[in-house]
Amino acid sequence: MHPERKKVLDMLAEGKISTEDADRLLSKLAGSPDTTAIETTGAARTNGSGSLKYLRVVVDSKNGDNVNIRVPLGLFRTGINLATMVPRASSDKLKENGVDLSYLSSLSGDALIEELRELKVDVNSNNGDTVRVFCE
Amino acid sequence: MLPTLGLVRIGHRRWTVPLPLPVFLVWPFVLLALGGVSLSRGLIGRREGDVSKLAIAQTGLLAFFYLSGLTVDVHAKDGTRVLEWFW
Repeated sequence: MHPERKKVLDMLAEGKISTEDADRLLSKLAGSPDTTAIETTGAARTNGSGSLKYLRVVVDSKNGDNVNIRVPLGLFRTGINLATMVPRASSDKLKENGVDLSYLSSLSGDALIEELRELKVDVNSNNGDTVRVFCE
Repeated sequence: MLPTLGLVRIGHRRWTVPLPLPVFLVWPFVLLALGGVSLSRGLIGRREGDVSKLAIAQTGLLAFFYLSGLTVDVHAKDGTRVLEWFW
């Protein structure tokens, strides 16, 4: 058995990834035998065309609580629009503290996606909990 | 793309009860509400106050269009599992 496939199956057995994730990873491995490594449990960060479609939030708690959320980036963009509707007084206060919400409204949809391309948050706490946020 | 179906699965790690959600049934209401809000925004104009509430309502309704593909999968340590998909 290929080590990559074994790694995927091990992660599935440990409950680190869902069956859907495992299926997708195994399909990708089957489709591209040259694959030499899986970067993380999130594995494929981009689809074949390289365009991003989803924001993934994966929380693995050592005590067994796991959360796996996949948010379409379109929905994320809508949320950004909502963030730009903060009252002027509040946005001025935020600006005084270094948070410029007007930058969000100035981003077009594609520019926002490009900004998110490099987004990668990996948090590993002392007690073994991990939080990962990335786009795929 | 408007989501047509939703599926919520609630149960245990090894078994879950599927609860289908016929999301397409609310399409007419969402489209009607969106049309009403857009029309109101157009009529009232871009003043402060009420207009911003309408803008929030419009954005909230537009968010419905992007629900397709949203998935949530939660495993609790006691074995409880909740999954949710929108297609």
